[in-house]
Amino acid sequence: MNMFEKLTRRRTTVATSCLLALALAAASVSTEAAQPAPAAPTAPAAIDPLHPLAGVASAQAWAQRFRTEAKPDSNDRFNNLTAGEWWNRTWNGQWTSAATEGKSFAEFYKGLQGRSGNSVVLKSPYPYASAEAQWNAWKQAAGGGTKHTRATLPDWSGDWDSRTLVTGGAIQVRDVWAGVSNEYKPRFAQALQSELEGSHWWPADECLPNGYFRDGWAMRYAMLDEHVMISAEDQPVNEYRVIYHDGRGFVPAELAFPSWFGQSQGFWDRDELVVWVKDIKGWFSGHGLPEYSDDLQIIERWKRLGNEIVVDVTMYDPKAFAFPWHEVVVHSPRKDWKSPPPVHNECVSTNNAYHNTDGRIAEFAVGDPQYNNMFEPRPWAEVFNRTEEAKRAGRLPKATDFMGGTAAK
Amino acid sequence: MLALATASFGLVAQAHHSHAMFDEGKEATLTGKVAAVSYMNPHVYLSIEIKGANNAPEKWSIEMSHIGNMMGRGVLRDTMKVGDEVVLTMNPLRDGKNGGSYTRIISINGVKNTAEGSNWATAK
Repeated sequence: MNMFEKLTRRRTTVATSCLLALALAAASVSTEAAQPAPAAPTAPAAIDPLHPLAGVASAQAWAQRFRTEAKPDSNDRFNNLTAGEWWNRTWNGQWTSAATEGKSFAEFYKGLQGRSGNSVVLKSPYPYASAEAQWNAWKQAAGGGTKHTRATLPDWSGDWDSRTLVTGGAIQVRDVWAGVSNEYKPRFAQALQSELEGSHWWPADECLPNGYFRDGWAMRYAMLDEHVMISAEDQPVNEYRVIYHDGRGFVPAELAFPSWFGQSQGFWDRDELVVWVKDIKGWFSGHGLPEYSDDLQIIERWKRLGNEIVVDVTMYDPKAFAFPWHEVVVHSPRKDWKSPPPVHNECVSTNNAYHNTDGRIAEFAVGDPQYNNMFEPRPWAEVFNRTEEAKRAGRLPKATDFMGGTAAK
Repeated sequence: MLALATASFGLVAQAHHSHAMFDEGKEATLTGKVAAVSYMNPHVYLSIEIKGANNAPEKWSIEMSHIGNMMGRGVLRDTMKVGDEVVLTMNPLRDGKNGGSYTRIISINGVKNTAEGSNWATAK
């Protein structure tokens, strides 16, 4: 089995949403009281909380420390499914097909069994209660930070692929559930139920940004004197982050606002970059994972180890999480930079997916008025022609053709 | 021409949306002429004109995977060109509209596919 699972993402009233989610949590995924979740795996011992990556042989070795192996748990209400399996076993509308064949939901769900009990340690191994506390402890341990010149900055050049443990879906859903706050558990239960039923909501369905869980760490790095530019040239949309490491600090509180990747400040601890991220917009990435809130703050420790880059990630969200979360990101060199070649990706021009009135994913097709004809090479001409037609029909005022008939009709 | 059959074929792909709108339990064979190709992310699309009821022309829009996957499967920008006669299989939209998610290219201009699964290759 591969070390990582590479997995490539409405407004309702609060009261309605919570009531529905509570009902789903009680009726469909069973109750806390009836069936306590197994205890989340604990972190391996002997990690130096101030210099965790010191002496680590490789990025893969660091990631491996947080993998757990276990046999399937027959009492697991989540059927030993990982977050990756939760969506990957349901995203083709399997429940809809099963219902058409006359199966009950219980029969369908019973047939969804995970392949093992293997998981990932979610709980942070560090003794800090907040991102600020971790940042301060690590900065003090680094003597205030290492001053680099361009010549001494680590080399992060190249084309990289990034893989993650938790957000990549290798974690058991039961362990994610244990890491979600009581306030956010009903929302998570509703999301899990919806994915089981084939009513997935992934941001990119509607060409929205994937958010931190899916696109926070990738894929190309420009190391400059004052900042690192991170470019995620992934489909469906390109995204980017900027990490300042020149000590300028965060923008003043009155100018800060939640954004997809927040704002990042860093300092160097020798050849390791420590980053504090805050002002992240609360969001939901689906794929067997829960929502996070505007309170999410992240501490990252980046280090190049041989031919890889590792990112040790601690996530604090006291509103959405039951405890601080831990994640490991491993960047490996891309095997073939030109397959596919670097490209600017956007999603809108070819998208016909939407959520219908029943909350199901659907597509506009040829003949639908809303059909997005991505085969039209000059969509603007179609808009111009609409104006011409409106003038002919008298809906818009007539205008003199100032070019005397040269314009295309 | 459109022919339907029940099949267990599954297309595993990374995509920007779930595939719950496509009926994975049905596999349709579509025979027609390429009207247009949109070779873009997040999905490559194929517009095909087929002979529908009473031989009336029907346009179908076929969703494929993203460019990285399509390149890996041997389907490049020029693999199918406007006017080519293609035969392919797809999981149709559940709502019965003229669209689907491709599962396999059977032939292009009569040249049969010799590759496995969703890959494309012709006999050397």
